[in-house]
Formats: sequence, structure tokens, C-alpha cells
Amino acid sequence: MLEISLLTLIFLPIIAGLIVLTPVFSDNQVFIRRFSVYFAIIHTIFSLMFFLLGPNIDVRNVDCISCIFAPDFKAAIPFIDNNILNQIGIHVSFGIDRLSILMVILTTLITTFTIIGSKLYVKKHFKYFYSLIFFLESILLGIFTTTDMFVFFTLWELELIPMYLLISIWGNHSAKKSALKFVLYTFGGSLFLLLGILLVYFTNFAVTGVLTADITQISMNRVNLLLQLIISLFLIIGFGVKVPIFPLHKWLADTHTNASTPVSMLLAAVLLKLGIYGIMRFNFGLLTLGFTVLSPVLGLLAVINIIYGAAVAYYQKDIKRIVAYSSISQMGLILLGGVSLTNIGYTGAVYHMISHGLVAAGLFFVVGIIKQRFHTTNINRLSGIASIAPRLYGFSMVIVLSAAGIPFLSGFIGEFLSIYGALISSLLVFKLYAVIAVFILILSALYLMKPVHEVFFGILPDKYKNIQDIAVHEFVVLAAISFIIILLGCFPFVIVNFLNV
Amino acid sequence: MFNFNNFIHYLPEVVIVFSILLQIFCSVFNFKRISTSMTAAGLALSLYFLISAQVWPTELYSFLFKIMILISSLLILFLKTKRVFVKYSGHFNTLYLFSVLFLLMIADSTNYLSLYLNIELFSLCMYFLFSMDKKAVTLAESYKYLVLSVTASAFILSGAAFLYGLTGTFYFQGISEFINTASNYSFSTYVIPFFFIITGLCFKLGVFPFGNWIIDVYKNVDTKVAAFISTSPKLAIFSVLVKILGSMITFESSFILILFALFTAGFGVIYGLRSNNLKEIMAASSYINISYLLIALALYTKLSIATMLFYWAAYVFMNIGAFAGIISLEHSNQYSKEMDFRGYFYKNPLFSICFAVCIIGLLGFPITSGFIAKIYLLSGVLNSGIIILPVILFMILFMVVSVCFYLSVIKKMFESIPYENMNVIKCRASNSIVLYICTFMTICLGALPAGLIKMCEYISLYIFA
Repeated sequence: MLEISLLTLIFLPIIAGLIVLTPVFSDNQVFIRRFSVYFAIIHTIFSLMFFLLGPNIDVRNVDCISCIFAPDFKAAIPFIDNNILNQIGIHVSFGIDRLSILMVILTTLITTFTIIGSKLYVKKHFKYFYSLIFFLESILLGIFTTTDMFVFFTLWELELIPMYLLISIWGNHSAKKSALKFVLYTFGGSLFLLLGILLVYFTNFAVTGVLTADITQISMNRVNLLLQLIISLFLIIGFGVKVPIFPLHKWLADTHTNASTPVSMLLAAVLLKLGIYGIMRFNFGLLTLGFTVLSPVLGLLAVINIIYGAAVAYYQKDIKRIVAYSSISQMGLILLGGVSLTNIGYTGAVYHMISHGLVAAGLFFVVGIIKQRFHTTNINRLSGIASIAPRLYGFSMVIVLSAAGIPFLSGFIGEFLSIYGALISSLLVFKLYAVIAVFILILSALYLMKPVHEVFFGILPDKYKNIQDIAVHEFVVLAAISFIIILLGCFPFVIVNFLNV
Repeated sequence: MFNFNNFIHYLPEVVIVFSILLQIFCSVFNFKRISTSMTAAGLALSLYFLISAQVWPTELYSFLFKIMILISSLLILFLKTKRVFVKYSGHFNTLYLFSVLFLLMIADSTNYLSLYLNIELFSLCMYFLFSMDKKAVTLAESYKYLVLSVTASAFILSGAAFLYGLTGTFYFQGISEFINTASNYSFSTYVIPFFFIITGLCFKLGVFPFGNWIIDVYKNVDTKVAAFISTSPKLAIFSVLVKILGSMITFESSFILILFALFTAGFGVIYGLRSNNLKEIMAASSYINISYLLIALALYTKLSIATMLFYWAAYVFMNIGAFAGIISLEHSNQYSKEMDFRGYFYKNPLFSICFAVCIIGLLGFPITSGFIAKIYLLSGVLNSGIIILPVILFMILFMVVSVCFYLSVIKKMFESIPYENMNVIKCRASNSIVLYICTFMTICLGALPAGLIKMCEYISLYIFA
């Protein structure tokens, strides 16, 4: 039963996308959007079912950090997962454990928000837009649940095609260039990832004598340290492009600036999390020894990410770029929690992944609303919006304060747990990193309150007098995001207990 | 002494010879209409006899190459270019069949003399095919090709003569046995003839220092002929290379070939980056793909040969599909020269998606066979040992940079400002059928690669048996 429902969960969006794409389907944009919205809501509720079932799914390794992919069941795709592939160790199968469940719910939730929020931003080729979003969702769900390395890699590369088209077709005039940049960076990284995966595959065969690409069956414990370090390095280059880790971050700001608002939401909220997910699953779960040695270096990079992202964000004039660089800073924090090798840090990283997913989606959505209403995102040209758009102001304050790490909002819990995890780490250097990373609380308030101050307060120029406050669909998205942020901030143990049984 | 069992092995070639005679008959009596279909029937019959014949397991790889040569020739035959050779269709088809015949014989050749002879005859056929439309540019191009290819063949011949002087035989098998048994010769003695022969064959493959003719030929010659020369001859040469390298593979020869391959890929990437026309991009893609194949071949392990065979099977379909797309674009008066096919996706989605699948396959993105071929090839190369890692890093670099120019094609196609006065592409039915077949095969091999992978591994197992 669970197998079938997991496969349904993964493949339902593809079917929906194909339905939208068929020529007999109506060309009316309202009809297409409503179909997509209802479908996405039903799909999200369906995915929440796994969360409710979650406590029933048995977790084998209770005491230690559950990064090792240990799903209770594996759902193989019939026909494609055939005997010949199994002979060379490839199983086209999917499984779900607690980390996967949270990521799946994040994906479906953000996709729903994206589709509801896309009303004013998609002005052409409606069919293609919604079907591409659905294909992308399916691919993302596949990445978060697959148990096979080669399937993981296939989906990892496959995700580039819809993303490239989504950025370049519906972006602004210079979106094609940044879409190419995005593809180049990610494709380059993914080839290193392939190298790492192939090395894992061959080394595992050489050591254990079992030819398998199944993450749950590979054990790299007996591989020597040097080889583990080489493989870890390749994998981290591959995943680091997506995170993005400091020297590989150049694509992020441009892509966000030029992509359309829904695509930015999806990119920041879900796609960046793929990198951390990969590091947790592969580097942490498989190559634990190499990861332990590399973790101080990764922690240093994470701290650089935090400080660098915050500093660059502070000096930006474009709100969208500020939000983009704030993503880099926040992802640094997630990385710090993830590499701290403590249970609390890991929990904090996962928590902050969800929290930052919601916050980034919300922030990009607010920026999109401002861009759509006022035709500019330059903070020098905007002022006094709060007087004509009080509801927008209210919701954005909730999201901004969550990003700045104010208690009782979800951002605080994630930041606190991540930094605390680094602080109690057995390695001395992590205590230093934690002390530096604490500054994110001040820095994020600095770079986010500055645009809030410039944009929402002050005197409203006359030309903006007739601009409307948020519409119903925007209200729905912002209210839902704010509600979840407050909910997670007040009841963090929903997720913390879910992760640590 | 006529033995029917032996004769059955030559049936494919014999069928082609008979259809050549038929074509000559046709061109004498000017049967233009049925000329092409009769050629296709001849090739198909030849393919049927080839598949139905019993094959010695050790010859399976050349059997596979011959099948691929016939399939690709059959697909390319159905392409109809703007400069259709209707007027000379009998002549064209005769020459085409001749060149296919010589390619089959190259793939089958067991000694250097027959190799040299068939390569020469094939070059002569290509010379006439190039210059068929009698334009000044193509005439100059074909003359250049003739002179260069004769020079390259002379290299093969002198290398063969050198080897004959050393070993006393022209046969690959005999040379291999001599090298294995004779201990008084060091390999350095064989490096010079080996280098000569490899130089000659690399010219035919279009490998960097000797392969500049590829660019001119792709750009100036009729696209159908360019499509032919981009796949079939290379298949035949690879079939021979497997045999030749089998007799004298050592660290030095691998090293030379890998060096050639890396330079080729680098050259192709740099050329592709500054190209602004589809045919130039195809030329760059030919350089790059040939270099990957050469690397896999040069390592000469069981897995790497299997990956090379799979890569070839994938590459043939993607390449022909891309050429079919280019010919369709040329037909509809959309310049392939300036890549002025913006927004075609919204006018003719099926054509654009199929063309994009072929391009994406050459790039190596998932769902297409190019992706599986890429992973499989890299795994085959990596399996030779961790020492090969620098080569792989170079390959990765080239793969990443080649994204730039492949994606520029797709970017143009999906650009969302369709010209109002732009015509919908009216593809000729035959061209689109070829494109659809190639796309179907590309996706099929990408989604269900297991059978072919198994076959390739089986074949490569017997090369070393």
C-alpha cells in the first residue's frame, strides 16, 4: 500500500502536467490555473498523509543522527526496474524516511504557493508554464525519495531542463544569459557529482564485492581515508554548486534577479535545499569518515558564506538581490548546522531548511508584489508603501522578522538549534565558528530591516497613490506562509520530535 | 571452389553490388522516380542478410558496426535536401551505394592492403559525391578533400609497408602474433609504423591536427552528404581501429591516442564557442564526440570497449536526427546559417521538441540515450584506474563548455517572440520521418538502455576472448 502511494505521490504531478499539455485541454488561462491550483492542493494534502503516517514508520537507528537513508520499504517502478539493470546493481526504486518526508512536504507546499502566486506573473504560454512546474515537482520529489545513486543523478540532471526553460522563457530580458549561467554551473557541478558517484560505485564493489548503486546497501566504512577524501571532494563540488557554497555561488544572484517571481520562489525554497540534502545523504551518510575530516573545512566555508552573504546583501540596492544574498547567508547557517556532527545541529539544519524554504518563498513573493505594483525594486525609488498597502506590510514584517531570527517565529528555532549544535560540537574549532555565526542574528536584522525601512516607511510619492493593496490570491499565499511560520515558531517540537524519535 | 556457406557471409555485399548494377541500369534509362526506393530496398535487403547470417562471436563487433553503417546509410538516404539530386538521382545513388559497399569492406578488412584499397576507393566516391552539385565552392572543397585524403592514405600505406618489412605479413592477426612471439624487437620499433597508420586513420576520423577538412566539408557540402560523412565512415574506421589496436595496444599507443583525443576535444570546444551556425556546431560536436570515443577505445579494456560501442549506437541516431532537423530548417527557407529560427517551438512544437531532444542528447542530458552513453562512457574510462582521473577532469571541462553552444540552439528555438510573418516549417515527410525515428530511438535507448548495454558487454567480452 505504502509503495503504491509513494509512487503515486511521485508520478501524479507528471500526469497532471501531461493532462495540461494535451491539445484538447482548454487554452483558457483561468481554467488552467484553477486546475493546477486544485491539483496542487490535493497533492499537498496527499503528501501530508506521509507526515501523519511518519511516526508509524519504524526508524532503525534511533540513537544516532539519522542521515543514513534507511527507508522501511522500497517502491520499484515496474517495467523500467528490470532484471538486467538489477544485475549491474541499479534498482530504480524509491523509499521514504523522516528527512525525505519533510523535504517532500516542503516541495509540495512550496509548489502550491508558487502556482497560486503565479497569477500575475505568467503572461504567456500558460500551458507550458504549469506543465513544466509539475514536471519539476515530480523530479524534485524523485530526488528526495530515490534510493539509487544513478537515479538520483539522472533526476539531478533532468531537473536542469525544466528549470532552464522556466528561467529563460518567463524571465526578464536578460534571463537567458543567467539561465545559461545557472545551467553551466550546475552541469559542471553535476559532472563532478557523477565522478564521485561512479567512484563510490566502483570502490564499494572493490571493497565489499557487491555491485550495487543502492544507497541503503552501500557501506564505505572500510575504504581508506585518502580515497574517501577524494570522493568527498568531488561530491561536495557537485552539491556545493546547488547550496551554494562560497566560491561557487556566482550564479545565484543573477538567476534570482532575472527569473520571474514564481520561479525564484521555487528555486530559493526547494532547489537550494537539494545541495544540503545531497551532502547529508552522501557525504554524511555514506562517507562518514571523510566527512568527519572535512567538516572543519566545510564549517569554515559555511561561516564565510554567512558573513559574505550578509555583507554583500547589505550593500545591494535591489531588493531581489538582497533577498538572494540573504539566501546565501542562511544556507551557510544550514551548512554549519549540518556539518557540526551533532544531533542538535543536524536537527537545526533540517528545521532551518524548512523554515528558510518558507521564508525565502515569502520574501521573493513580497518582492514580486512590489515589482508588479511599482515596476521597480530599487530601494532608493520606493518609500512609504505601508500607508497604501498595510496588509502587505503586516505579512512582510512577519516573514522578515522570521528571517531575522525573532523568537516565536520559525527562523529563530532553526538558527538557534544550528548554532547551538555547532557550539556543543566536540571539535574546538566549531565553537569558534558558532561564535562567529551568532552574528547572523544581528547581520540578518541589519540587511533586512534596511530595505523594510526604506520601502515601507517614509513619504509616499504621488505617483503611487492609486496602487492597490494585495489581492485575494496573494493574501492566501502570504497568510498561509505566515501562519506556518508562526506555527513552527510556537510549536517547534512538531518537527524536532519527528526527527528525533 | 565454390562453397555456399562462405558465400552467405558475403551476401550483404553481393546484394549491394547487384543494386549498384540496377542503379546504373536506371540511370541509363532515366528512371528517376524509383531510383531512391530501389536503393533503399537494396540496403534494406543487405541489412536483412547481414542480420540473418551466422556470426563468429569474435567478429561480433564488426558485425555491430556493419549493422550501424547500414542503418545510418538507410536513414540518411531518406533525407531530401534543397539541392535535391533529382536530376542525377541515378548517379548519386550509384555512388552512394558504392561508398556503402567500400565502407562495409573496410569494416571487414583483415589486412592492411585491403584496408588501404577500400579507403582509397571510398575517398574517390566521396570526391564525386561532394562535387555533385558542381558549384565552385564544393568543387574546390572536394578537390581539397581528395588531395588531403590521398596524402593520408599514403601514410597508411607507408606504415603498412614498414610493418611488412618488420614482420613479413600484411595481416593484422599475423602482425599481432609476430609481435607477441618475437622477443628481439622492442615496441619502439613498432611505434613509427603505428604512428603512421594512426595518422592516416585519424585523418579519416577528423581528429584535430589532421581533421580540419571536417569544418569545410560540413559547411559547404550538401547537408545530406555531410550527414553521411559524419557517421558511416567513422563507424567503419572504428571497426578497423578495434582490430589494429588489438594487435598492438600498449601504454604508448594509448597515450598517443588519448593525447590526440584531448586536443581534438579542446579544438572542437573552442571552435564551437565561436560558431554561429548550426553546421559549424555539428562539426564541433563531431570533434568532441569522436574524441570521447577515441579515449574509450584507446584504453582498450573490456568495459571501455563496451561503452564505446554503446556510445556509437547512441551517437548515430542523435547525429542523424540533428542533421534531419537542420535539413528541414534549410528547406523552410530559414537560414541555418544565422540560426534564424526563433520561436519555432510555438509554431511547430513536435518538430522542435524532436530536434531539441537530438541536440540535448548530444549534450548528454537525461531521458536521452546521450545521457546514458555519457555516464556509461565515464564509468568505462574511470574503471581503468584512478590514474586516468586527469583525463576525466579534462573531459568534464569540455562537456561543461560544450553546453554553451549546444544550448544556444535550444535557446533560439524556445525564444518566445515568434515572428508574425514566419512560416510554419513544412517539413518534407521523409525528413520528418527520419527525425521522428531518430528521436524515438534516442529516447528509447535513454529510457531502456539495459538490453543494449548487455549486448555491448557481451560483444566486448569476445574481443578479448
